[in-house]
Amino acid sequence: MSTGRLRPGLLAALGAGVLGLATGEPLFLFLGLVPLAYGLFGYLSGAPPATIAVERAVSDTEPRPGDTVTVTLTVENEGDRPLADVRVADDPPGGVPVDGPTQLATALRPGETTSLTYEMSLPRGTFEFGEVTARSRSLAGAVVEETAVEAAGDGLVTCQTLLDAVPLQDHTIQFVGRTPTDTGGSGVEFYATRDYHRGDPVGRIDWNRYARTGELTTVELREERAMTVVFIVDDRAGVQRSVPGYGPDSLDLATYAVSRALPTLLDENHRVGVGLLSRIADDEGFVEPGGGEAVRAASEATLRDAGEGRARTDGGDAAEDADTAAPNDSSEAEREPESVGRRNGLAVGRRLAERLPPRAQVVCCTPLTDDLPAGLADALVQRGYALTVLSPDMRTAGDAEPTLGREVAALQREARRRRLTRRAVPVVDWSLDAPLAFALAAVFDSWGRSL
Amino acid sequence: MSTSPLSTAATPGRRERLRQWVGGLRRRLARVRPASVAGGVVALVVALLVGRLVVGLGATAQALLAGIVLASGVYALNSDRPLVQMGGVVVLLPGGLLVTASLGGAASVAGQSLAGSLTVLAVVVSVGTIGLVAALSGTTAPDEGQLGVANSRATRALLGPLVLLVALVLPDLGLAAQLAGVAADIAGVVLDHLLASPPDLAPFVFPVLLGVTAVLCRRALRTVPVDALVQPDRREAVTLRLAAVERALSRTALVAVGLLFALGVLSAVGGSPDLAGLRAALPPALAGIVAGVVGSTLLRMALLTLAAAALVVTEAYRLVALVRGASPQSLARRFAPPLGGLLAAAVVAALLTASGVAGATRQRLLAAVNASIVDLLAGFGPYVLSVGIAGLVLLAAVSALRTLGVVTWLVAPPRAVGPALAGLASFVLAAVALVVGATVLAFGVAALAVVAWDIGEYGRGLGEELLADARTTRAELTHASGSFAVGIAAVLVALGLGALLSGTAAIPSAVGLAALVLAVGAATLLLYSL
Repeated sequence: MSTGRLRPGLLAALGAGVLGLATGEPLFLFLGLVPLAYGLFGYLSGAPPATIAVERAVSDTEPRPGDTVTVTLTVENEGDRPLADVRVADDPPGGVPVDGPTQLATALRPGETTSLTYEMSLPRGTFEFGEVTARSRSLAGAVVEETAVEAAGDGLVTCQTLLDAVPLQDHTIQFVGRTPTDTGGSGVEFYATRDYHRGDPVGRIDWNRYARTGELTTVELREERAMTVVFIVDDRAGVQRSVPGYGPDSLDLATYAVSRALPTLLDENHRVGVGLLSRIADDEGFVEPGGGEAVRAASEATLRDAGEGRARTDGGDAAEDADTAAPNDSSEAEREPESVGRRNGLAVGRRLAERLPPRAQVVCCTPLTDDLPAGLADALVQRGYALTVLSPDMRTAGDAEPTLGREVAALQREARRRRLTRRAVPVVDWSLDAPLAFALAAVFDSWGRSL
Repeated sequence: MSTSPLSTAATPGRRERLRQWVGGLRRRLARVRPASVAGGVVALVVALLVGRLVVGLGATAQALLAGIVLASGVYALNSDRPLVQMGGVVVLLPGGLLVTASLGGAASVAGQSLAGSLTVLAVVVSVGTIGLVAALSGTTAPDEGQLGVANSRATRALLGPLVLLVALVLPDLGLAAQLAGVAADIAGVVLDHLLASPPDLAPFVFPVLLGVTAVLCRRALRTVPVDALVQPDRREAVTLRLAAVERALSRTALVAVGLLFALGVLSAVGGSPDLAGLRAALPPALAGIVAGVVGSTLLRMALLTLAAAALVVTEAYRLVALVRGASPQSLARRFAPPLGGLLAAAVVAALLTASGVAGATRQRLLAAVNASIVDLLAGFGPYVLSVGIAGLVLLAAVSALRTLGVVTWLVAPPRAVGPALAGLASFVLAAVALVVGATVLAFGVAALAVVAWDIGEYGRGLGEELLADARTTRAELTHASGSFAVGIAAVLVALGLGALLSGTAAIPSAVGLAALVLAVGAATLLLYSL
C-alpha cells in the first residue's frame, strides 16, 4: 500500500521544472532531478512482506492478584531480506495497567531478533492477549504492508485464587445491576455498533465513524443487569468437618463466606437470599431473595442461627427437621448408601425449588461429606435453576500431616466433587491456603466481571 | 490525613508544583521523535548556508530569530490558560519587531533592484518560516490546527492596542474628529474601489472581492449549524450538500487567487496595471467580456452584499453562542488575548516614553512624513504614538502568521504540515542559491530540503502511529541514513547530468571528494543500522 508520502518530492520536481522553463535556465531542470530521484527511489523500493515470527513470554501465567508480571515479546525476521522499518504492536489485555512500551519500530536483518519488555499489574481475572500487528515499510517509507501475527507462546494470563472460579452462571434478571450481559443496551462498556435509528440519543452516535464514512451509526453499550442469588448453607450437624488445631470448621467457613458475600452483592443491586439446608422449609431458615437492609438483617440473623443450631446439636439436642428429611447424624450419614443421600437431596431440592423465584441461581456451601448435594443438584437443575457448589477443602487446613482417615475422607469428597462436575454443576474447590478474608472479599467483588 | 476523595485536597506547594512541571516537561520531551528534530535541524542548516550567502549572517539570524519568537507565540497562544495566552501575545511584540526589521532589509534593496529585493524577500521569508517550523518540530504544531487557533487569538489581540488607542484619543475631541475623518476617507476610498470600480485597480479588486466573499461564506457555513434547522431525516442529505458547497467555495477561493495572479500578469503585459492594460493584453473578442465581468458594479454589489451577510450571520451566531455558553473560564480565555495586547502595548509605550525613545522617534517621524499628515501626527503625544507603534508591530506579527496560514492552506498537505513547510522553504532557498550562482550549493541544498522534509515527516508519522514510549531509534537511524545516501547520489547524478548535457554545472574536485566521503559515510551508517 502506497503511503503517498513522496508526492511532495514529485511536486517540487515539477515546480523546479516549471521555473526552469519559465526562466530558460536549464539548471533548474537539473535541480528538479534531486527531488525526482527521491520520488523514483520511493516508487522503486517496494516493502518486503513482514516475514516475522513473534513469540510472547509471560514471566508468570498464573500470578496472584496484584502481582506484576513481565511480558517479553521477541520478534524475529524469518525472511531472507532485511526489513528497513518494521513496526510491531502488541495488544495487551484491555483494562490492565501496563508499564513500559508495548510497541516497537526497528530495522531487522535476516534471522535477527529483537525484543520488547513491559510489565503488567494484574487485577483478578482471566486475561487474553490480542493479535500482534506488524507493519513493514520500504527504506523510503513509501510503501507499507500490514499483517496481523499470531504470537507463539503465552496468550492467556489467569490471575485468581481458586475462589475466583466461583462460576455463577448467566442467569441475570431484568433489573439493572452490575453484571455484564451479552446484550446491547444502556450500560457503560462498548458492546457493538448498529445503524442509526431515529430517536437514538445523539451522544451515542459514533461521530468518528460518521466523519470517516459519512454513515450514521449508533454505539450500543453492554447492558448490565442484576442477578438473583440464593446462598444455601449446609448446616447439618453431622456432616461438618474440622481439623484439630486449625480453628474454624467447615460450617464456620461456609457461614463466613456467605456473610462476606452478602453485603457486596446487595451493594451491587443484586437480589440475594439465604437458606439453611437443615431448615429449608422453615420461614426462619430461609430468607426470600430481595434487596435492602431488611434482607441484610434477616440474612445475618439466619446465619447466626446456623451456628447456634450446631451448638445445640453439639450439646446433644439432635434437632432433626423432619420436613427436610436431611440426616444430621454423622455416623448415619456416612453409613447410608448413596441412593439414600441422593433421595434426601432430591427432596430438599424440591422444597427449595418451590421457594425460589425464576432464574435464581443457588450457591450451596457444603463440605461435600455426603451425597445429599448430588440429589440437590439434580432437583434444581431439572427445574432450570443454576447451582454452584462452594466447598472448603479441609485437607488444606493447617500444617499437620493428614491422617489416614482424613486421606480417605478426602478421596470420598473428591469422588463426590467429580460426580457433581459430570452433572455440569460447577464446584469450587476452596483451598484454605489462601488468605480467607482477602480471597472472599475479592472474589465476590469480582463476580460481576468474572461472568 | 483523610483519604476520602471528597475531602478538600490541599493546594500543592511551590516545590510540588515545580516537580509536576518538570515531570510534565519530561513527558512532553519523551514524546519528541529524534527524526522530527533532525528534520528541523537540517532545515536550519539550509537556512544558515543560503542566508549567510545571500543576506549575511546577521540578517539570517534575525529572520531565524523572528521565526523562533513567533513559534513561541504560536505555542503559547494555543494554551488553554488565559495567562499563558496573554504571555503569547506579549511574545508576539518582539516577534513583530523582528519581522518588521527583516522585511525592512528586503525593502531597503528594493530601490536598487526589484529582482534583488524579491530575492532577499524570498530568503528572509523562507528563513523565517524555517525558524518557526524548526522551533515547533518537537510538537505536533501546526498539524492539528494550532496555526489557525494562534491566528484567531492573535487577531483578537489587536483589539487591545486599538481599544487603548481609542481610549487615549477620544478625550481629545479635535483629534478624535480628525481621526474619524481620516477613517471615513479611507472607508470611502475602499468603498469607491469596491463598488464604483475605478479602472486603475479593477483587475485586482474583483478577484480579491471574489476570494474574500468565498472565504467568508465558507466560514459562515462552517460556523452556523444549518443542518440543525431541518428535519432529522433530511439532515444527512443537507449535510452532504453543505459539504459540497463548502468544497465549491474552497475551489472558488483558489480560483480567485489564480485569477488575481493571471489578471495582474495580463494587465502588466498590456502595459499598465489597470483595466486598460487588461483590455490591451486580451484579444478584442475576449477583452470586452472579461472587462465587463471584472468591472461590473452589479456583480460587485452582489458579492459585497453576500460577504457582508455572511460576516453578519457568522458574528451574530458566535456572539449568541458566546453569551449562551458564557462561563468565567470561557470569558477569561476569550478576553485574554485582547487584554494581553492592551497590557503589552501599554507597558511597551510606557517604557518607550520613560526612556525618551518615544519622544525622539516622534520628532524624527514628524520630520520625515508627508506635510499633509504632520498636523494629524502632531496631535499625538509620545505615549499615544508609542501605543500606535506597538499596535503596528503586533499587526506585523499577526500578518506574518496569517500569511503563513494562507501559504499552508494553499500548498501544505493534510498532515505533516511542519516538515512540508520546512521542505518547501528549503527548496525555495535552493532555487535562490541557483539564482545567485552558487550551483553546487543549490544542488546540495535541494537534497537537504528533501531530506529535511523526508525525515521530519517520518518522525511525525512515527509519533502518529506509535505510542510515545515505543523504541524507534534504530528505525529512524536507518531511514535517515538511507535518505542522506539517496540525496548525495541524487545530487551527484544531477550535477553529472548537468555537466554532461549543458556544461553549465561542473563538479569541483573538492566538492566531489566531499560528496564521496559523505556518500560512503551515509552508506556505512545505513549498513550499520540495517
